Amino acid sequence: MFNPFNRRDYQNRYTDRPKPKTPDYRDAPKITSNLSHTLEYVRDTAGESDDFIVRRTVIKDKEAVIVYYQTVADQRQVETVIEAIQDHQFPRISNKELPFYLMRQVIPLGNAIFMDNLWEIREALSRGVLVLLVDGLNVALTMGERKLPHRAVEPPLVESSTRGPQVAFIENVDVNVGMMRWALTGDTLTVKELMVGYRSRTRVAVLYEHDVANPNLVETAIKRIQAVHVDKLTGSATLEQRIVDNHWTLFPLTRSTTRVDNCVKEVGQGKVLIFVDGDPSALLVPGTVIDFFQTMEDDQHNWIEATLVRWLRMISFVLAFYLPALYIAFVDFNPELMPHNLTLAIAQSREGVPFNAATEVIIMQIVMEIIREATLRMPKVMGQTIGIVGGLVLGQAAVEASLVSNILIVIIALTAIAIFVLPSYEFATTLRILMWANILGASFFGFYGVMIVVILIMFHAASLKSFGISYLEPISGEHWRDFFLDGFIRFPIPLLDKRASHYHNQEDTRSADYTDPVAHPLLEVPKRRSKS
Amino acid sequence: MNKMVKRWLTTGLSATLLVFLPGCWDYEAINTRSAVIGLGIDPAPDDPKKFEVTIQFPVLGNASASEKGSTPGDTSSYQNLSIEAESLSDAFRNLQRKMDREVDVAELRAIVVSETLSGELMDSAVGQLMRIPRINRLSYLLVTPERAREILATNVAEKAPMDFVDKSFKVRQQGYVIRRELWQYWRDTTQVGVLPVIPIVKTEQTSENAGEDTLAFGGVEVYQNNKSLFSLSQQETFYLNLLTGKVREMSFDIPIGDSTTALTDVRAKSRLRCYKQGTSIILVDHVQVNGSLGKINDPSPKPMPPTQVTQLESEVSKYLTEELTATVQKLQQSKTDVVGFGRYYLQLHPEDEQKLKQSWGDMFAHAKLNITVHVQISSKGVLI
Repeated sequence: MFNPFNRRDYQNRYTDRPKPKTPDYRDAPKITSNLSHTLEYVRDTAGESDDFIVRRTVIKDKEAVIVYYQTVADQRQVETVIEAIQDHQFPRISNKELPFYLMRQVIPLGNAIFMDNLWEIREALSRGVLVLLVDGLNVALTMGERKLPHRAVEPPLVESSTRGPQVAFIENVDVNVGMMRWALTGDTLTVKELMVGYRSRTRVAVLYEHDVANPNLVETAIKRIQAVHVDKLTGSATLEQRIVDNHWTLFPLTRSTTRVDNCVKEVGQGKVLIFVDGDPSALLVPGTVIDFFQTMEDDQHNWIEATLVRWLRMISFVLAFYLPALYIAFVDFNPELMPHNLTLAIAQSREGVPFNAATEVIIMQIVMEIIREATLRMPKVMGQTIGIVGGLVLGQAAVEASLVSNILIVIIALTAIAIFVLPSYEFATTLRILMWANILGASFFGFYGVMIVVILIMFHAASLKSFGISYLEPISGEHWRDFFLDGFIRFPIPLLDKRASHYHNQEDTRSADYTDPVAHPLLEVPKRRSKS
Repeated sequence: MNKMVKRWLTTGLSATLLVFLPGCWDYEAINTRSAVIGLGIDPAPDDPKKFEVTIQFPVLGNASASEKGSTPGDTSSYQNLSIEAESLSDAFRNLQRKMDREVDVAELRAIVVSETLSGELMDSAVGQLMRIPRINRLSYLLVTPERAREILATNVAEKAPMDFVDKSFKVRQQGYVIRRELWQYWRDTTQVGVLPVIPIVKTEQTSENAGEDTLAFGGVEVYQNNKSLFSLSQQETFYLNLLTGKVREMSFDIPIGDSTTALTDVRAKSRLRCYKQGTSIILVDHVQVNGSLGKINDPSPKPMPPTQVTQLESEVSKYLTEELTATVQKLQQSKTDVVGFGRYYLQLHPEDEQKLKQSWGDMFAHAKLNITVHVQISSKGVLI
């Protein structure tokens, strides 16, 4: 069978680099039955911190301690555990049976486990777990869960929509996985949890439908995440840049989103979803170019409306990509190719402008980029000021001061808005940079330059792969069905009964409509009465 | 060296070399050129072997335009420059001395030639124009009995005169002139079996202001070997347009009895044929004319019965058949086939090409005519 994922096994390309200097768990000693030894070890490592707490108690005449970080552990859980231990009437049992007895009869928390490696215990401590050490036992009991405040689930800030669920992911990976489980309540949704980072020990959750997603894709994703050897992982973006196929490309090779419904749709399509703890934006792999032109919102509308909106996105992509470059090519190189009246109009509006069209466009585009970046970073209350300064002062005044022509202002404004018709912010950023490449090409060689830039970009995009899938899929022509049915056109939902084939899923059928249900033999009614 | 590094290096070097490939030859910014919108060609007053070339170009960004709010594409302020020269390119080079921008004929809209231009000068002018690679071959070609220089200097309707020509040639009405673009004239001069025509432009006094002139179009000038032969009047040009089926949005009067009837919204289609029957050549033209009633004999506003309409149709058909036949006969007398019957003849008899080249005029003059006109009155108007 055709298998795109096994062509090249992923391997860490930077094997020669020095690794971060963190102690190996293999060097850490095992726990001994001598409590003071263990405590000494813990004190020398975790005990350096001021928020480290050692709570002493007694279990069946034996010295016992509960150690935890008070800043991450749940204080109420500590109290419950201590209360349970102190209230319990311990029977006469041997040291060998004590750990199991504690686990079975005493500890009131659900997630208690045994641990005997001190390195693991330290790691668990910093995760916010309570560790119970008892003198004479060569095993520790860890229990509890960290209690950290996180914000409530809110509507998405960036990807807003008019209809459909208005929930977005938050910074807590457990809540995010919970939201996915809430939306996809079948046990086929599989969650794999990985730890990344020597120091940060960031939790990364990988979600997929195990009977739909291509197992090679899942394996590739998990292997690549496991191959990440860093000391800290700060967010999904840094993980994304380490696991994609090409580190140098401009194009986003994964789709990142904060909307739950987007993820539900794509995981149902057979994609793999990756959450990084502490980051609300989730990664969907593989990401191909068509993903950046559609949103879940398309499914909320009538098929004609959804199709037209998709076309609008493509038109604005073309406008944003070509318009400033074509202006330069027309004005500076081949004005005779324009309609007569437009030539005159542009020539007239450029009368008195001291720069050539290329300089003019570059100046105004830089101004536009400055306004755009300033609006992003500026406190929200000052957003209005930027609007007035940007729109009035720079637009109107630049024309009146004869710095630029007023037709150029129209082009710059249209480009600036058209870029953000695309639903994906990452792709919009890419488009901004591609537009610059096009502008430079046009300023040097006119139409010839525009063509060269376009050919280079197409060449590069066609050579890209995202997790084994060609980046231009399904436009490349091999999977034309995906392109027409739910790509260029969004056909009515009942017709979309097959999953996109370019993901090479295990299971292709998405839905079946029972237009002719099987009738009950006793209730069967003759369908047509004979004429006789 | 790593294979991939090598590949990237090669790509990078080739991309850098591209910088040296085109140089700066194609950098021609819009504001460094002056778009010549009109060109007038006269014989020089003193030397009959020289041209007097007049160019017309809009003056952009003057103070008055910006005060008005500078409507884009406004050509109300323009400048004409004239010079005498042996060739057009020489004229352009010399005119450049008087201008602060490059002469650019890529935006040319209309070319006006003088009727008095001799055959050799016209021949040389058309040849030179067609040879300029950048020239706009879709620019209109006009002929004037006056001096082309004066036509270019006529003030019309807040526009440059040649802009006016360009715009008024794009209206829907077709009948009194035959619009000719430069390439069409060139095509007709080089083709066998047809003679080129050029529409005539004149200055006419507007009735309101005695001093102000306007441009008026009407009739065509027939050319043979780039030499002006004779001109057809406005009415004859209309019949010529009917023969070729190029009439749109016209109206015309038909004398019936002692009064006139008028048809409006007239459009025509025609089917031309030309073939050999025995020793004689037959010219066939079936013209289908469609129109609605404009004016009728009976001034009272009462509905017209269908029989009268049919009668009217046959009367108009008869009248037009006579007129069209007369027009073709006039063309036959001067041995000029401007309708293009020869082209159809050549399609049927390609073996006669040499004969056609030498003596199509004579063959045309002795051909038999079969011209039929079928008029259909599609609307009697709404009388309530």
